[in-house]
Amino acid sequence: MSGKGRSRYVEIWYDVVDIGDLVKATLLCLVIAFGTFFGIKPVVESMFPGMEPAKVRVWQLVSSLLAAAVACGIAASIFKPKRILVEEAPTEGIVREEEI
Amino acid sequence: MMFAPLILEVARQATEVAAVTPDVVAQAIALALAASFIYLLIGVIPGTDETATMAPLTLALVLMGLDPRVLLAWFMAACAAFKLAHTIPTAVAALPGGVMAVPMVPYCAEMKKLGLAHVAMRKMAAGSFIGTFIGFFIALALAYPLATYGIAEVIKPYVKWFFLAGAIVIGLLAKARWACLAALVPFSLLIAGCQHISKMMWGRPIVISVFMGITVGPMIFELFSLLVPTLRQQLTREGPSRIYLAPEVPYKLFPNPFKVLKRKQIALASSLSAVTSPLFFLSPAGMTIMFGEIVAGSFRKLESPKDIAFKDATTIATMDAITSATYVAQTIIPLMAFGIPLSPMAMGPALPLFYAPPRFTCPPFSKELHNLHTLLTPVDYLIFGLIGIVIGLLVPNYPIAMRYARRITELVLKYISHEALLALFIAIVATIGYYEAGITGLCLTMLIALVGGFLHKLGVHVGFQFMCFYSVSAILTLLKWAAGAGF
Repeated sequence: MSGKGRSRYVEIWYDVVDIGDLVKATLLCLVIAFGTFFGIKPVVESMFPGMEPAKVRVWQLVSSLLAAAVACGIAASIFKPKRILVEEAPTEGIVREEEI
Repeated sequence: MMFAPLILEVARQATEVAAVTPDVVAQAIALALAASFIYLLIGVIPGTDETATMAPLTLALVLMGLDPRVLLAWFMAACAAFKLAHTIPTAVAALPGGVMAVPMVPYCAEMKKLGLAHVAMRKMAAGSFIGTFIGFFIALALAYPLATYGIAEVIKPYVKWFFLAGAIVIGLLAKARWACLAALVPFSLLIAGCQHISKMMWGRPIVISVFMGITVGPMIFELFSLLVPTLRQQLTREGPSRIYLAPEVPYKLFPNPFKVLKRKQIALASSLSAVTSPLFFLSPAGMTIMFGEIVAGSFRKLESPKDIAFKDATTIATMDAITSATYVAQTIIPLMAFGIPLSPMAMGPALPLFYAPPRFTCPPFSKELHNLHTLLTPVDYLIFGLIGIVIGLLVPNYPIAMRYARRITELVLKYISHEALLALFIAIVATIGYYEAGITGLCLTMLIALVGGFLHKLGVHVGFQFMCFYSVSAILTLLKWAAGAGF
């Protein structure tokens, strides 16, 4: 994604990300979510025989949303945050909690 | 005072209606606790959409056949817990914890830059606390006479016009007011068209995907901008972001919300919650943005960082109070007074409480009215609603937000990358789009997100876009009249 000499860092939705990592993380989450969506269908059908197709689809959705959350955890462990935490208030104009 | 009729009702019903047994109360408490923990986790994940996360789980519980009173406690706990928990990523990462938190992001981002992320979280949690209770009691006080004296029946046919009027009001109060009004009909028709396409392909209109599309619009548009070389330059940064965390101040576990907030903040948060709760035909997002801008704009003196921080703290406390109040009120009022989904909330996250075939049915989707409206008594709303909101607020969310605000902030920032969160968000949107209408749903969500994100960038904000969605029915009716008359 990133060209020669160009920064890989972009600001999306108020925080900085690495484009390459973002693409990889997105693919990971999509694959896991959709994999679960289709993979869980026969499981639900065999666990609850005779369940209406609409209801099976609800379970597919719920499980793939949970799977997406798990995928997010995996992605977070692979792709580290691009943030530098500074453990103190900025030097100019310190505001104390009691004042506001 | 206003609950005198309710107390009489208790006496009357004690003899004729299925009693509130300890069994049902125990179930309600158990489910409210479950909702509280589940939505604490979901709320903390940035970007999780309310409709997308609350509607499917609630639908599953409804279809499982739970007692309607237990369902109410579940849903109220979910509302209260979600509204508290979504403040965490909003304050910590300036990433919206849910759709409703989107308008709070700029103020939180400003406070975060000043190293006050954890203070922002406490202010919002206290605002949320006040707003939830005010919204709940005002909703009961309003819905009871509406239901009892048949006023609801008179209002019903006109509600779609309220939505249209609401869209115009919200549009006029935005900064880019004429742009909003100019976009009203085109954007509504875009949504109507998308719903029509999905109906053609899948036999049902997309509903949740419309919400999702509007919600992710700004993010999708930024991702889209990366594909345009000139726009990409504007988004490029030299390196990682620097984030300042203010030193920890020891804090009580159950601080009095009235002490966390300054007097002005309490006054604004409670009065505006009370004003917005009865306006069930306006979108919560729209009202939050509208009153947020008014509150923020009322601060004239912004010389020192302290002034700016005070403005931000007051604005977000008020906004979160409004969000919480409208969420609860917009569920209770239509449910208790009408039984049909007549508020933006009822047409979104709370829809399964109204319509979940085959168990719950209601107009306009089907002829018969059979849902919580016909199954619950006013006393049930009071008892089970309270069980829900008290548990949703107090166990464990309020103390967590108060005491561990900074620790959660630090953990999220250190270990959860923005890439992972954006990826999660994209995956959720894609899954929901696919769930509703297959690949067609995916494409339509993308279309709404792109156009919505572009409009948002121009100042036609997300809250107004939601109002466009609710105005679709009124606008189509007007166009039908025009077409019928040969115009």
